[in-house]
Amino acid sequence: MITAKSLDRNRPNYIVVFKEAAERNTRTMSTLLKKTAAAGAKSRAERVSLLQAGESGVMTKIYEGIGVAAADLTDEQCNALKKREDVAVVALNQVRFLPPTLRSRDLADRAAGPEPSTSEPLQAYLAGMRDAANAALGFLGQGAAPAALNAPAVFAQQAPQRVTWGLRAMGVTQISAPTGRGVKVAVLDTGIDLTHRDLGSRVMEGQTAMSFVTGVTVQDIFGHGTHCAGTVAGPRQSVSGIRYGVAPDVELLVAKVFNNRPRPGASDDDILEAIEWADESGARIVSMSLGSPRSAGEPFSEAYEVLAAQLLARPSNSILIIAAAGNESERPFATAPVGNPAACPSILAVAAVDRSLRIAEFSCAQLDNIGEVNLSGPGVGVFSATTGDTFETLDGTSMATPHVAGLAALLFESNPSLTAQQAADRLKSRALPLGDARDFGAGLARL
Amino acid sequence: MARSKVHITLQPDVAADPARRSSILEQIQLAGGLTEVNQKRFDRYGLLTGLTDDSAIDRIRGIKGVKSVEADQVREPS
Repeated sequence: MITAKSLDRNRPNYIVVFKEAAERNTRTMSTLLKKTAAAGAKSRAERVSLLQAGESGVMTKIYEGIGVAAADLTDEQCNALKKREDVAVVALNQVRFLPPTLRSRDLADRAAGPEPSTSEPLQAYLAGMRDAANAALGFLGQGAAPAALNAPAVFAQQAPQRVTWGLRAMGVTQISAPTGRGVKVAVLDTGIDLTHRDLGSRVMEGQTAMSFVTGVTVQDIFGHGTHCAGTVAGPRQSVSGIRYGVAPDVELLVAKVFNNRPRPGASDDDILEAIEWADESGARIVSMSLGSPRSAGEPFSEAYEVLAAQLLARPSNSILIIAAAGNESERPFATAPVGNPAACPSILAVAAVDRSLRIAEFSCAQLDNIGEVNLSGPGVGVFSATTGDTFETLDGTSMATPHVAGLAALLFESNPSLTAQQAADRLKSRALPLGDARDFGAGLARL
Repeated sequence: MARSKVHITLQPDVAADPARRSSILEQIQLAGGLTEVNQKRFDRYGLLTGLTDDSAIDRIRGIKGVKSVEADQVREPS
């Protein structure tokens, strides 16, 4: 729960969010407010510029590194800024409070990342506000994702909840508008822990959770499927105290396709059947954190492609299938090609990045003209649910995949008329480029 | 004689035509004696899954209108 109120008058009354983080934002504010820089006011470390105080006695702060300004504006100045093309949002400055119950939690939180230091809470808050504004504009179809997001802005700590680094990196916040409501996402994996307090009540065995493996129930005994389902659909308020689910309100479908052997395997036949079940159950997204290695030059699987292509191209109720690129690389010594079925042209292949947005050492890459990487997602040090009603931190393109699946659900909620192909295109066009497309695809998937 | 589960895909124009689909199914049965066929998947996607003799796989591959024949594989969590 977040509460908000207007700030008192010794603080700026408006937050201005620029589309790009640039030094020219300071000139823009200086010209508009007819104020010059305050003497000795710029801090290189924080990249903050100050303008002299106006009648209200409130100084204007321009956070160049994140493209945000906090200023006391008249209605006229506010309107002038709103008309500018380089301004994304002008919003009332508000304060959000942490509920006391969350403040007292102190879980070992490798996943939630460092809290902002005492010198940067306002900057972090403002960056979070910019992300929220972008999310709102995206929801309105105005596509405000800044062209020049830098790492500090990407990692902005959202006010003031504990959220995993992966969600923060993708721009998913506790105040993000879309939550996946009304969108069905199928997770094909080792099943789900039906006793987990965060997830168990989200599915009903035999209806929305099905086993496709003869002789075993949907109950997860490995944790992998629970972890992936948690990344897609973990609740906004987890019993862990940490938000790890990208789309907490999705309608979760769980298909157990892995057997319960010590080294679990899933046959193509069972996986294909599970995809068909997901289709019949109304899924818009199928998340598959599975695969097998493929040699460079080896063809993609025609069996998956024929299904995926038809589901993707269907004029209505089209389905986006998302799969893990594979973990066979051993960078920097060796890079392995995208495995199957992620190598299929009609399946979105997801690579893994770490919290520094570097490619994960194990993440497969495009090494031929067959298996492309399409997008990247958080895949190192990923905190989510696991069996035994507990939580754990895992690595893998398996972990990156449900991040992108959850994000796709947010897109479908905001734009229900999107086709699966349009959703895939939009995910790619909004991605944050990170480098070589053979490693990262279009980049880090972002809200 | 060993038998394996295979996934057979058809050329798109064949898959889209019910009469040609039916005809090619007969040819595949003659070539490989396919059993445990998933008919629903065949009708919907032109994807034929079933069990066949290993020795018949190349014969099925040679049928005009068949695009690919893949052995059912086991995938792992990634």
